[in-house]
Amino acid sequence: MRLNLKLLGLVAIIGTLSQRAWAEPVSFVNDVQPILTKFGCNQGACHGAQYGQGGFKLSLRGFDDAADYSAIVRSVYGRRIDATHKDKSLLLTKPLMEVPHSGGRRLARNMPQFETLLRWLNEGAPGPTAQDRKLKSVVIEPREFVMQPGQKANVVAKAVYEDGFEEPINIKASIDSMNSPVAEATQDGALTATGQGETVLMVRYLGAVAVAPITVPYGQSQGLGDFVKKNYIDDLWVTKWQKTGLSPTAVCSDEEFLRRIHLATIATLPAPDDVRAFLADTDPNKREKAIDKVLNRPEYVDFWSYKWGDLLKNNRNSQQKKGMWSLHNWLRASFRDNKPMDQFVSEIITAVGSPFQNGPANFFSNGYQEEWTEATAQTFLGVRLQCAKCHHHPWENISQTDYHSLKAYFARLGKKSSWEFGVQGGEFVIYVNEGGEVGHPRTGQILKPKPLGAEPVDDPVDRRRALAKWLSDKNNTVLARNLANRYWAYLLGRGLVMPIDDLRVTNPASNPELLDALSKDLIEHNYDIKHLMRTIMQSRVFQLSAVEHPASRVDGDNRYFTHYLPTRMTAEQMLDAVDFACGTSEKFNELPPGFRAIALPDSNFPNEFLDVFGRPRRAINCECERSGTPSMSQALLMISGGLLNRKIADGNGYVAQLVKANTPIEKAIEEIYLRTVSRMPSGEEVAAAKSELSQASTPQEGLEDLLWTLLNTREFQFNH
Amino acid sequence: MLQFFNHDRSLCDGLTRRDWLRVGSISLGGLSLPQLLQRRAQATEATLPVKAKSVIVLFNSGGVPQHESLDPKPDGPKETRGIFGAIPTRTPGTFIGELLPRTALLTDKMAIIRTMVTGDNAHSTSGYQMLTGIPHIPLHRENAGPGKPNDWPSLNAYVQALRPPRGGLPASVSLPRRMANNNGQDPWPGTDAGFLGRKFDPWFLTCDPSEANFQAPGSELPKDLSTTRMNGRLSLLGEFGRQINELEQTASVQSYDRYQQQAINLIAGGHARKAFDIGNEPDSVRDRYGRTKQGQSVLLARRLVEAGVSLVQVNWSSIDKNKPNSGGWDTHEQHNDSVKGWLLPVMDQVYSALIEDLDQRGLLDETLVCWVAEFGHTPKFNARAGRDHWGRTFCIALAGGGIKGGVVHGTTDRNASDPLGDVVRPSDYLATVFQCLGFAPETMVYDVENRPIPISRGHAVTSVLG
Repeated sequence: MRLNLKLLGLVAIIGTLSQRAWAEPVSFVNDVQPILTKFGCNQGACHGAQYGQGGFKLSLRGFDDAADYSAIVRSVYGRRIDATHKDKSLLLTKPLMEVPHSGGRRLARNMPQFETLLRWLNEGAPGPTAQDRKLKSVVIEPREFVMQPGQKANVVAKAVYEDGFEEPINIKASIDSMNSPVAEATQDGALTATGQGETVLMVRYLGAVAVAPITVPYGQSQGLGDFVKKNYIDDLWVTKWQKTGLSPTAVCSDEEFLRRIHLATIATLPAPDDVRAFLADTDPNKREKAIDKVLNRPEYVDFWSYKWGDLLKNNRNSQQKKGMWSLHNWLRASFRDNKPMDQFVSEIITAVGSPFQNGPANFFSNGYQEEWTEATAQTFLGVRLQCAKCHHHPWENISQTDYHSLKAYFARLGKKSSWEFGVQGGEFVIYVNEGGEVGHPRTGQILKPKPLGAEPVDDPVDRRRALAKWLSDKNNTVLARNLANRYWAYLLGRGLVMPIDDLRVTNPASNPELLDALSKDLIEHNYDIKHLMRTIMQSRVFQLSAVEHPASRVDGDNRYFTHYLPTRMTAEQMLDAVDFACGTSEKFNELPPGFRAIALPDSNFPNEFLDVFGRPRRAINCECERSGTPSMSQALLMISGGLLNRKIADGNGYVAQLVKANTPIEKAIEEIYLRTVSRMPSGEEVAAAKSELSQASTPQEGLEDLLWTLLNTREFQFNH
Repeated sequence: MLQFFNHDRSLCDGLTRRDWLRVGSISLGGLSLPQLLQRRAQATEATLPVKAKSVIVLFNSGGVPQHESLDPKPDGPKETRGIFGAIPTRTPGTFIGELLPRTALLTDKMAIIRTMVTGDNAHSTSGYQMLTGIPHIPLHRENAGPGKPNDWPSLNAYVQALRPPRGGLPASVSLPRRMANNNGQDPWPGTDAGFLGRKFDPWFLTCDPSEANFQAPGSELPKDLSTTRMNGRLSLLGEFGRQINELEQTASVQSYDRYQQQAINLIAGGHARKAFDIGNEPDSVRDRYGRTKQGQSVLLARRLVEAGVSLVQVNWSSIDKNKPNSGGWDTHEQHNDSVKGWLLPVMDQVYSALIEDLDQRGLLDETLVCWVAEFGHTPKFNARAGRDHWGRTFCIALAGGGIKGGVVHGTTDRNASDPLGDVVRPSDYLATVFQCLGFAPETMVYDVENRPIPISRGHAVTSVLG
């Protein structure tokens, strides 16, 4: 009811505003261009294509007013506009399909947009002028939609200009729902709740974008059960579940918890004795203690150096072996010392000198200015910037100017070769030049260095120092938000924002308040990443069971973390876990025996297992380069592969040891369960296994078969 | 010996029906998740009539000599025309090389393109262009490897992304070896999914279907593991896999279960494994293809297509590594002996066998057969009586689903060295293949970063389309 009253009020406002707007002459920039964008005329598949369509070329999504004006009004002898019969102009008759148009019918004579275009022609088709109003912001009313399934609502989009003028822009802005299975929006701004869940409404106008959240609750929350709030993370999820009508599942068992924190933080299965000790511990705070213990394990350094080696594309192909080891060792030192992450990032983006001697300088071994710009944006800011290299971001308020202004931070960085390691040593040095600028690729205008979405900052000696200072500023949450989202995903299987390196206004977090709180917490604790991990793991949300609450099954993707998302172990985790369970070790070229897969410095160690299970090549900035997708080859490798079978039957392997030591059968079964699925077998399982083993030709074969079976269960292969 | 259920069960058939239901229960209910299909569905909709349900690509890496195969120049100058003559074909007015007598009887089903141009004279980079439709940067780079910016997806990968897997087999298979320079050391760029991501890689099979006891690759058991024991293990997995922790059905768990099920099917004798039972083919059919690795690989391709695979690429497999030029098509020396001795006769036999076999089974109308290579050979002979690399013009042949027979597209000059108009680029050839599969070139697939990529930037060669 409140919504309706509000709408009535808005309708009155629109009435007055549109009368004001009607009196204004039509502006090419503020009226005509947005309509061409709204109707898709200048999209990539149509006239926005590299060579246009049918001889008519517009700039992609209308970022170049002057060129587009010329294309419409002047080019091909002005044939697109009929000076005497304005309404017979090709500009109108083509989209009306009154003459053939490969793009089909886009416009009708009774549409208000037709009215606007015709009026513009009647007013003499004026071009862009300096007097065109400058847009300040786009506003959506209401600011949030809470709807029931099937309910309808009207969106009012308004533009606010720098001179204070405001107008409704439904007829010329592009209005979309980001997820049509939840809610659908028509281009006129009529919104219908078509499903359940949350999404955002997006309004784009003149390169600016505004979003408004839409919530269509899944139903009534069935309460919290035995859920206990442990910290602020739980508070914020409870609020979210109540709003969306979801319920959390039960807490996970001690064994699941211990296995989960081991795999998530050190990619290593817990040792059988650790499981037993943890189960026997009666301290009510034993989970907190276990978290602290696992964060201090040496494997923490291995695993996170490997993880960041992925993100920083550490590989010998572009850095040579010396550079690769140098960066790897720097990563290890950083994680060993739990270096504050803002300092970690600053050291990378301001690195100079020889990549062979200064690890972080290898960031600049990969490519040149554009690669560095894109890597900085994607890895440290969580923004995919690549598209803005050539055109305005399709949805976001990110322009080519933004891209090349960020690039300007690296404009003075040079590489020169050095003979430090001999003439053939291949060493080079990263150094700062005295000059060097970046021009806008279209206008050629020199661009000042400016971070994304912020005021320009510069440094007289090395521009990058200003960028690093901006990133680690206590009032700037960009880096912290990116890290908080990534680490949430690393620990819980999916990010608050997905994909995890695609943070933008039109892709909001499933719990924005939580992302804010986590990043604030990280900044307040001086970018101590272990603090962030500890806080997340201490929350009850992290400790929920992997079996979902039946009432929350509607949230199939587990966007709201009502249970723990089972995630397949990564390639390296899996290989190590298989070796751990079999009591064997993989031998990698040039490395000593016992060197674990999660400790490798790059991915150029030939290994079929790791390739089949999708380790990344470390060629691109994206997290998505690592594939966690199960495949047929993986299943074959685990079921009938010789490699796995050799490990299981290894003469010095774990089964062989159990047999040699004459381990009692029940104890042997228990050990194999603990080594694979990190839990005690149930009485039923022991009995079943015993009866199978009694039929085996030798105890060794029987135990091998049991081990094989457990390695092929999803309980082993998934972190759950 | 582990025998968990009943001791008298037959060994080769694997599990009893009851046990299979158990194993199967790991994955039941796993196939309907909308999320799993959502991404796929964006791309799998064919927008054009589907003329070819499946494609077999015969890729003769090394280069097929246009003069001796499909573009003979009997009236050309003697230093370029070679020593072999031309023979008339089933199509009046069309002549092909005399070393292809059986193929000559099938030209009514074939469209020959004589003006295929890559403009690239290196195996790996010209091959990249034929596989992806995108010229390599830079051209003429021998021993090029995969990597930026030459990471465009191959035809196999696009098909993997466009077509769902059927019959427990992946949509796209590449066999019997990967294309690579230097005896398999340096794989060509463009043989995998590139920036579409590894999950769209075709299933690479390294195998020799002409071996006596050939089995589905990857399904052979390790030597020290008996079938009995494997069956015991599978029963155990069926029994225990069910008891253990009913994990929630996420997309990832479900697809894991599905692949595990497919792998078990392959090992334990399901539909998929039967496709690999090449020994079930009558001897007459196996002999017709020839008992070579190449012949049996092509026969296997036909069986896989019948079992539901959308695209099988058969890479040329040398008859005998000890022959000149390692028995391959890269005839830098003793060209005439090579083409007459072991290249064209084998190809003539295999190609004609495939077309006839498909035709007799009524499959030719729905199966597109592409005979391609990365380039042709030089018009002039070199000092070692060989012909070298030639990307300026060469021939390919298309036949079957969606293709008009009896067509020759394009003509070349009297040396078969340059096209006289009607140039077909690799992107056009691939657009033609996509059109037969029902996909317009502007169909989008999505890379790992979810960026839309049109499957082709070429134009279908309309003159060869039926």
